[in-house]
Amino acid sequence: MASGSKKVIFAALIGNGLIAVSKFVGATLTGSAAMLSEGIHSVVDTGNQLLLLLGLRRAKKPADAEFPFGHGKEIYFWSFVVAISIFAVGSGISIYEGIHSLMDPHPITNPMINYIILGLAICFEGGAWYFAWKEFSQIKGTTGFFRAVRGSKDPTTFVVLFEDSAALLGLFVAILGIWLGQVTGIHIFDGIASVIIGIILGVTAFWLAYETKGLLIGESTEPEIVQGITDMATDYDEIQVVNETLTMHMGPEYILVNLSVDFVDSMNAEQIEKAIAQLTKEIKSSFPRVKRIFVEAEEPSA
Amino acid sequence: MASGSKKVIYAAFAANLIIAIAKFIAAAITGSSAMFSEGIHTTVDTGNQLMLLLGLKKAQKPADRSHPFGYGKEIYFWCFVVAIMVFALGSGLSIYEGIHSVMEPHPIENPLINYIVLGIGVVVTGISLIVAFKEFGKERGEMGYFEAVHKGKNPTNFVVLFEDSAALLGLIVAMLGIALTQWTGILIFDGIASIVIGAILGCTAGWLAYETKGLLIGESASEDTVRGIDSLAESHSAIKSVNEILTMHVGPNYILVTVSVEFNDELTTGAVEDSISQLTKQIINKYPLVKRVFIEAEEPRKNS
Repeated sequence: MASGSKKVIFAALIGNGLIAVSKFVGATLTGSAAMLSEGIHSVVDTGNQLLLLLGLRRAKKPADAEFPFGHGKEIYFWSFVVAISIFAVGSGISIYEGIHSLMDPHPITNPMINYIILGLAICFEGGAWYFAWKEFSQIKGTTGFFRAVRGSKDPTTFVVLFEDSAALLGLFVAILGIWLGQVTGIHIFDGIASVIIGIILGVTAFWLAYETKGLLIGESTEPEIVQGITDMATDYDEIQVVNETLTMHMGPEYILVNLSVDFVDSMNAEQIEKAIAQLTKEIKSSFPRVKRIFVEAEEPSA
Repeated sequence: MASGSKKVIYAAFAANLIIAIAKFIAAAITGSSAMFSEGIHTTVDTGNQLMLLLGLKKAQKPADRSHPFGYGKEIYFWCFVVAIMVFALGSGLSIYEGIHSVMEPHPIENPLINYIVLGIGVVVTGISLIVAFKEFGKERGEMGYFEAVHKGKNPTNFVVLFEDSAALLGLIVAMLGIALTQWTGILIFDGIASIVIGAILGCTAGWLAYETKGLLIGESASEDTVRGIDSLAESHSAIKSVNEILTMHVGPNYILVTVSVEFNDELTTGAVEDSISQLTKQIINKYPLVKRVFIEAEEPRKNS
């Protein structure tokens, strides 16, 4: 899965890089300030992929005294930073640019170049989007789209998917805006398109920030896994009752499990330790993403 | 401690609100754009206090199925958002305003009003800083400032401390800029002051973001606490040896502790469970910040 999300990020990186270059070329040819700021926006998007790669790398750092549960949440942190960056730079610049243009609308020179660049951008962005979509649908399986995003513990795939979808939608809105301006002769359509693009990016960023926030705070793992672990422990002959199963994602591939169980009364400490060691091993082999398990012997609270 | 943080935040909120209003009035009278951007900066600061209060409130939410370890980290999250806000709006706006003013400098009218407002700002921010500083001093104990910030687990206090310190430094720089402009007649000093203020805010925000990031990722409890728990477990009669102790701050007042120990072999299930709940009680009594303890019976790992 980790290598899958890397592929998605690289695809987005290349896509955004190419779009940035074509926008800058377009800006030089037409002298359009809007195209220049669009180019800057694409550079920021390219930077976002680098941030995600940085997060993936830093998350690999082994646990140490200061971070005993490791650095897995780095990836959640950097995904959140990307959400903020889309919000502040992407959405902010678009809305600012749009209002500017609404207040002082002027005809678009050389619309052909705009169409060409936007068309190229749709191709590049579409390619990156396709990669992200394929990876995401593989992970989501048969669950619905929104539920899959809610439940997902690996934000890198859906961050890229969100970003690409928003960008793609934005490009269509941009083409529509320019075309309507050209056909009707009403120049404000261009500015309206910019504002709409800004709103799309803002909503996307907000949703992203909301989803990654939950992971940073500490989300449990999928209910099926919690149930599976509880069932495994309950099936144990040595275990009378499972009091509680607490889980937390410390990273996409790192689940922390704290299990509180009541052991059969006739055992001694050595047998308990053996049973715990065996249960730990079994849980880890059934659920490979479980990296740390703590099993506590506890009488059920009355 | 929670009530202490709230006091600090309320003090900062009241101070910022007053200063923001004063700055906007002064900007309207003098037509100074630097003063206007200072007003925006203070409004951002005021909003930040509201976000910290929101964070404190949301962190109280009890644990549920989707967040079994509770919402304590909400406060770390909102502190990070505040750091971003200071960076983007505070620092960004000041530098933007400064560059604008350096490229197109114009004389300041009625500098006296600016001095008065900045003077009020220094006094009010100073008071808020003293409140934050006192609260921070309580927590800091013997540690140095930088060490205390790095090891601190309750960012609300140092967020306000940072914000106030940066604001105070900024006010002094603003005064200096206006005074130099007036004195020398060189108009760009005003703009340079704005850029310096922006740089100060940027550095503050960067440091803040760095410190809160560690807490979001999952920092351990202080070394003293870890050592104390270790000796509590070691000295327990039922325990042969302690394998490892892992701790994490889930919030400023919520430490998660997992201890792996080897019990004496002859103990029965009942005795093991009793000593686990006894040790848990001991740890929580001695370290009230510890909210959840998991003690696992485990044989010492051999290096295979």
